[in-house]
Amino acid sequence: MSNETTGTQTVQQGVERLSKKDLTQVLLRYVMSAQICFNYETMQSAGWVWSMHPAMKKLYPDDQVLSEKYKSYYKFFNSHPWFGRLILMAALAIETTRDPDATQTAVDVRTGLMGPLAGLGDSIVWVLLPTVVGAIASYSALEGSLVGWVMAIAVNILLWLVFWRLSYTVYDKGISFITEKSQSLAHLTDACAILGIIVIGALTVSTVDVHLAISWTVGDLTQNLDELLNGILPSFMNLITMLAIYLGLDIKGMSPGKMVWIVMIVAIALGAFGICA
Amino acid sequence: MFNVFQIVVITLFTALMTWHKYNLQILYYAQVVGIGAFCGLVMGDLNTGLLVGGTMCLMSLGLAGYGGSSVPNYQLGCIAGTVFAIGMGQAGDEALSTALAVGVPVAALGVQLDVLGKMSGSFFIHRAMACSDNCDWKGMATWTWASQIAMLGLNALPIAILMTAGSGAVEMLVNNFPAWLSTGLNVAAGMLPAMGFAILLHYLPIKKYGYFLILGYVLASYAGLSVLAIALIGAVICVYVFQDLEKDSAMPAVAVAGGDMEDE
Repeated sequence: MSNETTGTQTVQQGVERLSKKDLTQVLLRYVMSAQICFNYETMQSAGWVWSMHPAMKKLYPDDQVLSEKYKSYYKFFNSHPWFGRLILMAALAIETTRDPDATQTAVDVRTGLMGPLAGLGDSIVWVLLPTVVGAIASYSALEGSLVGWVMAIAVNILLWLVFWRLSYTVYDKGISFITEKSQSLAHLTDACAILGIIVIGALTVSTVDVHLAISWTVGDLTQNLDELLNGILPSFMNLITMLAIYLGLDIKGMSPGKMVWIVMIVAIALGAFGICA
Repeated sequence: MFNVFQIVVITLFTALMTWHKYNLQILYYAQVVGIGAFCGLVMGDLNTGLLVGGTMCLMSLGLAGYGGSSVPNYQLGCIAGTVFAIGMGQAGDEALSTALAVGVPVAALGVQLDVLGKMSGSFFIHRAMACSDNCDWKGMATWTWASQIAMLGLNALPIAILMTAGSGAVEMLVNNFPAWLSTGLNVAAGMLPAMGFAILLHYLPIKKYGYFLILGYVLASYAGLSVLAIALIGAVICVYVFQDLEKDSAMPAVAVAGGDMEDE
């Protein structure tokens, strides 16, 4: 789209397509500000608008137009920040068409994608992988070594860079090349969930550490309740603790914030009365 | 107990890590270990830093702010715990007890700080929006970033206060810590990792795949394998299941396409 002369004045048209450099600038801003100014009304929209601004200014040099568009982009947005990069790139691709309804379309796409992609990002990027590599890094640290941590960070950086690369592809090809694979992504989430569940089963044994301190003496024989129960099922009290907290979280009005205080109070009471050690 | 250099570096580090935790996330995995190590280095005892970092990282596993929720802030807890354990000249198990006594309550209070920080965001977003309405792009950027003063301040200031005005009080508290309370906190340290796992399980398809818990449990308890070994076995199963699911869903398409399985 070149600058067309209409009447006497040249209408500012802006660039036809965003260059790779423009996209890099947006990405750099977005990774710095994905959840900046987080609030309970619009959640992550502030970082989004600030990040897209340099590119939008190139597409739409007219400030009044931009101001109107940002009214829509400032509305509620909340997704996984890594997937947020891809959604932002998809929105810019739509804005590049300069369709009169581009912003409406982009915001609709954004709203449609933010939930499913947040689910994927939360479960794989934020939880399953960090739990697996975090456990390995923790045990390595307890032995005085940073090897596990280096490994965890390597996984982190690698995945982070994959999302960075993908962002450019989304601008060029549209988000459809990801949404078309929605079934594969669902399969990936399922498969990774299995990995997570296996590791949680293992961590219940190795990381949770709850023991009963109750013992009694019959004749010369001292019986320890903890050993007795572990003889029936290894890590017996760990399993009970997991089950109790799992069910406790289902209680109406319970939140992780409240649960951490409850666990602390219960633990201190159990320790003080000599039931646990 | 702390010199000026340590107070300044740890406070700035707390602010930086708070920003990083929400935004950049490039050193996000096992970050509590990294935080423990860094604080250990600044305080001059890397080993204690790793011990506290490793212990508190285990408590943090499975916790993430899903959908804008607030969870215990073990990053903050680890910073407070590590600097006080080392600052009081302790090492080994004694240092860990002190770190837990200081760090776990700080981590729990982190939930409230996070909520306050996110509530403060409303003030800044409305200023930024008003600037945008007036095409004042500089003001928009300024108000957007100004929100970090509140968010980072809410996390970093308590650490700075604890290390300066509060250090005497914390030291007195730790030194006069009743035995029953330290026993209780040790019990809590053993129980708290279960909370992250229990939250995580609520987000996983337990009804569909819950029986895999038994596999992990058996491999860790009866077979006595390490977490890395079990994670590798899990990864193999993960790949197998993924391919199987893909194959099943590809079946009808394959019939139409005449058995071309190789297309990407």
